[in-house]
Amino acid sequence: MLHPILFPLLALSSGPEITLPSAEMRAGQEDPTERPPAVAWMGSWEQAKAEAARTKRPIMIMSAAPHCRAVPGKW
Amino acid sequence: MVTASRAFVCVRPATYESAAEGKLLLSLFRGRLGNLENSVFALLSPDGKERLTKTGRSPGMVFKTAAQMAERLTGLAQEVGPKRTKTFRSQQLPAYPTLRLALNVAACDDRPLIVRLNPSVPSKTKKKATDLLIEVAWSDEWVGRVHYAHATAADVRALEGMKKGAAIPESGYVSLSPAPLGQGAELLGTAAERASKAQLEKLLQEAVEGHKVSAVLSSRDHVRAGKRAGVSWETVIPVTDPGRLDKDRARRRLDRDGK
Repeated sequence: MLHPILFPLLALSSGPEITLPSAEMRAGQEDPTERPPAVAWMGSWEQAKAEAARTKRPIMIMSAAPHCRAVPGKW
Repeated sequence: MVTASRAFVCVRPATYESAAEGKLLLSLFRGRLGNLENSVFALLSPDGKERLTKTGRSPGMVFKTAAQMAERLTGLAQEVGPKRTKTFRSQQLPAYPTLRLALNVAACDDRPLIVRLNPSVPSKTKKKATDLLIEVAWSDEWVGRVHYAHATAADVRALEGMKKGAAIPESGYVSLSPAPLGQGAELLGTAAERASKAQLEKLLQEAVEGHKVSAVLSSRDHVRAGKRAGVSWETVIPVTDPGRLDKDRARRRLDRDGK
């Protein structure tokens, strides 16, 4: 079963299915530079809000904590 | 789903890294204890005031499948977005607020990080150069493939793992490969302040090729490796996820009862 936090991140960053190429699969690829298309995230709310107002587009917000039990480098 | 997301302005704030964003996230979704949890998902109107669907800890709490989510995203974009729906291209670099955070996020996503150097010195030339990077960042070829940050050359030189005497220019661009624990980086390449669009694309291409995909560890092994290395992430605001609170409670009980 997918980790409850990894699920949305994998689902949103990897492609049309929920169980999609994760880092595990990428590591086994012949060409690791061939990444699947990904969601283009902005890094801050202020930036996103300004761009949404400018372009009149709806906003998708998906916050996540970039640490696992206080260790960085893992969602 | 990725295609459907292009009609939205997508933002991924790091939870617990800003008091203002923490307040916003809490207003969008409260967990079972009424606290801010590790992740929050919401779809909002262009002014950011109206919720377009119910909110949750993840898309899985709102949609049954990825296909259903993609369909709903497309429908919502047509309902509330601009009538002539073109792919969203920002006029801003999708940069994380700090180099420290950007490096950590890049490690989490296992992607290289492109740093725009010395952005605090304003000049017409500098703006033009940054605009060129923005154009590349939002192009079909490069959108979402690498991460970005603004920093000074001194900040980059001070990173853990940076070789002494590494040729970091005072201004321009550098590409970095984040260390797996997100605390340091390896220099992959540089580009000059007056780099052309082709040179910036080359910098990104070489970054993607030069970044070694990390050996993927399970969360448990990653945490073990981090603890062994003495690495710890300090958040800006306290972590209030029930998982963390349960562990803190259990630890206190253990200390109190000596069991």
